Amino acid sequence: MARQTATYLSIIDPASEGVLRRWQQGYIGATVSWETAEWRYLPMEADGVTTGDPARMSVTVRVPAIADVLPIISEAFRRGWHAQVRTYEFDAFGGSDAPQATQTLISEHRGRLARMASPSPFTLEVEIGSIFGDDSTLLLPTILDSKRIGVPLRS
Amino acid sequence: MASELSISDPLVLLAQAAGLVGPAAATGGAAGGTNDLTRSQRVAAVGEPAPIVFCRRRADGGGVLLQPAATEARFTNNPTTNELTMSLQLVLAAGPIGQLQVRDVRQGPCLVGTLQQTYNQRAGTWTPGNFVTAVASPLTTWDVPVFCGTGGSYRGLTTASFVSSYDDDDDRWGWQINLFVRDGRPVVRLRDGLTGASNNWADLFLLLLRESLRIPDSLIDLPGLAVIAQFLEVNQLFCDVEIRQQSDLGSWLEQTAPKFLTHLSKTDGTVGLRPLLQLTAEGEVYIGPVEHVATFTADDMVAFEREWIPQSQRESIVAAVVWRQQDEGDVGLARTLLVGFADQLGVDAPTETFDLSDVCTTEIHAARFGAYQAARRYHISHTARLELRPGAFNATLQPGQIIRFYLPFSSSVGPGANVDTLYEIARITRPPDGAMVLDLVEHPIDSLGRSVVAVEVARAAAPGYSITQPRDNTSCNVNSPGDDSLVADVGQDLPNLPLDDAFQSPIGDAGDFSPSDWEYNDSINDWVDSNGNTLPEGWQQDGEGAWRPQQSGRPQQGVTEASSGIGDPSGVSAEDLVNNQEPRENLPVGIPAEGPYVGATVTAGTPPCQGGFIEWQRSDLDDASDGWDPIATGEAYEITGNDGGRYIRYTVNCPGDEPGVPYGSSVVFQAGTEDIPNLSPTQSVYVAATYQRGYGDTFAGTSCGQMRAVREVWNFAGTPVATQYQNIGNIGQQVISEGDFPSNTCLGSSFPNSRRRVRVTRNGSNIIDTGGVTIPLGGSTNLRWFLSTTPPSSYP
Repeated sequence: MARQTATYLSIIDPASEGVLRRWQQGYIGATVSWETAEWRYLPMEADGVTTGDPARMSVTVRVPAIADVLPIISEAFRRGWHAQVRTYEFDAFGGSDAPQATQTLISEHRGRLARMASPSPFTLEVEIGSIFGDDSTLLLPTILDSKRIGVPLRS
Repeated sequence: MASELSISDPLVLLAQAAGLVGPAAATGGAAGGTNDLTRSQRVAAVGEPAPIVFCRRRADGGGVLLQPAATEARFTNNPTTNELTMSLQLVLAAGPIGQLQVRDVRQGPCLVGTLQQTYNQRAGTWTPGNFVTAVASPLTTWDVPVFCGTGGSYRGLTTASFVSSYDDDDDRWGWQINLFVRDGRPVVRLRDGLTGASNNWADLFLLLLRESLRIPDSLIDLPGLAVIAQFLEVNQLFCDVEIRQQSDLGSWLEQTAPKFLTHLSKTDGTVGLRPLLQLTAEGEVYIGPVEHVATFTADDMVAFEREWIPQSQRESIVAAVVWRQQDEGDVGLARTLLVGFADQLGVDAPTETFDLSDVCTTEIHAARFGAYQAARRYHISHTARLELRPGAFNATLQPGQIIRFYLPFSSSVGPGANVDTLYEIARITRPPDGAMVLDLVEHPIDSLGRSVVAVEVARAAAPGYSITQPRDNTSCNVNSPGDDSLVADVGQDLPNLPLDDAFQSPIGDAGDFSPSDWEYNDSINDWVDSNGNTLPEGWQQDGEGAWRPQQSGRPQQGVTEASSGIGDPSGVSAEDLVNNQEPRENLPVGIPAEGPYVGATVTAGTPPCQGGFIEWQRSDLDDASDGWDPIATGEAYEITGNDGGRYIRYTVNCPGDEPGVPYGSSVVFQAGTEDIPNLSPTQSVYVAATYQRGYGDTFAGTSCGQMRAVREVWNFAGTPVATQYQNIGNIGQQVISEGDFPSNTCLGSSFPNSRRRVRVTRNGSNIIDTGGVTIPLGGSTNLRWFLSTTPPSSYP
C-alpha cells in the first residue's frame, strides 16, 4: 500500500464565501475535479498545521511567483481575503490520476494572509495567519474622533 | 517536495504553556474594584477608544462602576453667593447601555447632581463655556477651565450630562464623576434569545467578533457558543466588565477566555469557545467516569515521550483569586478568595495570585476558578508527546479532547511499567506527510474514573461573606440612596456642526483623476476646470475613459494615440467623462429569465485573462453615478435583500491592471425588490419534511418559488437565534421529486439545539415552512423532503 498526500489551496472572499481560486499540488500538471470544482495544478510546499490556539495558528505556503498566482494573492493580502490550505491522504496503490472519494483530510487551516514575501524572483512565500487577522484587529473599534467629540475641554 | 515537521516548542515547555508551572498569573494589584473615587475628573483625549460596557446586574452581583471622561463643560456662578454650577458632558460607552438610576450617580463618593443620559447624540441641552463672573469678597476664586470643548455628533456613543452646584469654598467640583451601570450593552442573549443586557462571556465573545467586522457569522461556532452560554449560566461564571484599554482582539480573547474556564477553539473551520472541563447536557461540570474519544496503542505509535514536572514546581499552591464585590449602586471592592487544599489554607503555603477583578463579581466564580487552578497544579504530574502514524484518526481529533494511550511492554530486566494513561490534547501538529503529533497533558482520574480536577471544581463553594462598604461618612449625599427612578433621556444634535468633509480626507484617486468639472475648450484645444486651469501635466485619458498619470518611457496598457482623448475629444462627450470614468466593456451579465429577483443567481463568466477575477459591485444610492462599492467576488453572485432596487455590475480585474482601474466592467442592471419572479401559478406543489421515517407537516403552495433547507440555531429557551439557508432549487415549471439533506454535508456539521426544515418562498413575500425536525442533543439526522404536483398518498 502506498500512502500519498495532496495539498489543496484556495482563496476565499469571506464576505460572500465565494472561492476565487483553487489549486492543488497532488496531481502534477493536471486540473482535477474535487468537491464539484476544478483545481488547477500548482507546485506548492506547506508547513504543518498546529492547532491548539486559534488566535495564533499559522501555516506558511511556498508557491511559484507566476502570473496565475501573484495578482490574486496580492489582492487577497490587500483585501483581507481568506486562504485555506487542506492536506488529504490517500492510497495511491494502483494509480492516482484523480482525487479519490475515500481520501482522508489530515489537516486544514483557514485564515487571513498575515505575511507575503518573495524570497526570490520566482518564489512567493505566504503565511496564512489566524482567522482573527493580524494584531491590527482592534478590541475597541469605536474611536473618539474629532467628528464625534469635537475638541474636548482642557483642565 | 520536502515536508517539514514544525513543532514550535520542546516538550519541557508544554507544562508552562498549559499553565501548570510558572510565575503567578498576576503580578500587580487588582485590575478592578480599586477606583480612586476623588481623583480629578478625567478629560477625554481625541483618538482614545470608546469603552465597551458589558454587564447585567442580578440579585447576586454584577454591574460596573464607570469613571467616564468629560468632553465639554459649562461653568456659571451666582453673582451674589458665588455658588458655582458645573455641567459636564460625559462619554459613557460605545453603543447603547441601559438607563442609569438616580442612586447610581456619584461625584467622588457623594450622591449628588442631576444626570441626563442619551444615545447617539449629545446629552442635555446646555452650551459649553466658562461664564464665571467676578464676585465681591468671594471665599473662592473659581479656578475652572476656560477651554470648555466644542462638542461633536456623538454618533454611536452613550453620553450623559451631569449638572451640580457647589457652595462658595467647596472644592469638590473637580472630583471624578462615578456612575454605576446595572445594564450594559444590550445583545440578543445566546441562552434565552431575549434582547437585553447580558453578563455572559459567550455573549460578549460573540459581540466582539461581530463588532470587529473581520469574521462573518458563517465562521462563528454559534451552536458551540450556546453550549458555553449554558455552562456559564449554570455555574454562575458571570462577566461584568468595562473594556477600556485598547488591545488586539485575538490576544484579549485568548487571555480572557480562561477566566471563564473556557478556551478559544476552532471546530469545522469555525471559531468559538470550548469548556476546559467536560460538561453534562445541562451544562454542569461532568463528574462521572471520564469518556475518552480514542485509544492509541503501539500499533498507532511512531514515538512517545514524557516529561515530568519537577516537584519544586508541583507543590500544592493556594490560589489567591482577586474578584470584585459589586454592591448595588455602589463602588466595587477588590477582594481575594484563597482556594487550596485544606491542609494548605491557614499555613504559610505558596500562594499564587489570579486577578479576575476586572470581570468577576461573584464569589462562586472565584471559587471555581481557584479550584481549577489549584487542582491542576497538584494533580497533573507530567506532559507527553505522542507521534502517530499517518492515517490514524487524522482530522477528527481536536485540542481539548481526552484520549487514552495504552502501551504494555516487558523487559528482560523485569516487568515493564505499562503505560495506560488518559491525556488531554493540548496541541496537535499535522505535518503534510500525514503524520500527527499530539502534545498531551495528563488527565488525572480517581479510583472511580472521574476527573479529579472536575470533581474539585464541581465541589467548590463560596463562603458567602459580604464586606460592608467601609465608608464612615455619607453626609455629603444630596440624592437618596433609595431613589431608583431612571435618569431622564434628554439630548440634542448641536446645530452648525462641521460637515463630514471637515474631518475626512479621502484618498485612493491617485490612479484615477476625476475631472468631474472639466470641460473641453475648443479655443485652446485643451481641458479646463471652472477656474480656467488646464489639465495637470502628465495626466491623460486612456482608451476606456479613465484618467491616469502618464508614465514616461512606457505606454500605458490599453492606451493608443487614437483613443487617448487628449487633444482629440471627438467621440467623447463631457457627459461621458463625468459619468464614465472607468472602463466600459459592456460585458454581458447572465440574468435568469425571470429577472434579477432577490435570491436569483447572476453570472459573469470566466475572466478573459489568466489570473483575473470578477468583482461584483453595487451603487450605494439609487444613483449609479454615486460610486460603486464592492460586495462580492466570484463568477456568480446571488442577489440579496440588501441589493433590492440598487444598481449592480461587475468588473473584470486582470494581472497588470493599474491599481483601482479594472480591465473592464459589465452593463449595469437594477436588482429586483421581490424574493421571486412574479410568475403565474400553474401547479400545486406539496411539500413534506419528515424526520427519517416519521411524518412532517404538509402544505400546498404554488409552482413558483424557491425551496430551501433551513437550519435554525436554538437557544435553550427554544428561541431561534440564528438561521442558515441552503438552496434546494428553484420551483419553476419543473417539479422536483424528492431528496435527502444529509445533516453533515449540506449545512455543516450536526450539533445539538438545532432544527432543520424545508422552506418554500412563494409569489410575493409569503414564506411557508414545514414543521421541521429538531436535532436532539448530540444527535444527527437527515432531513427528508418530498415535492409533488399531487397530494401524496404517503410520504417517504
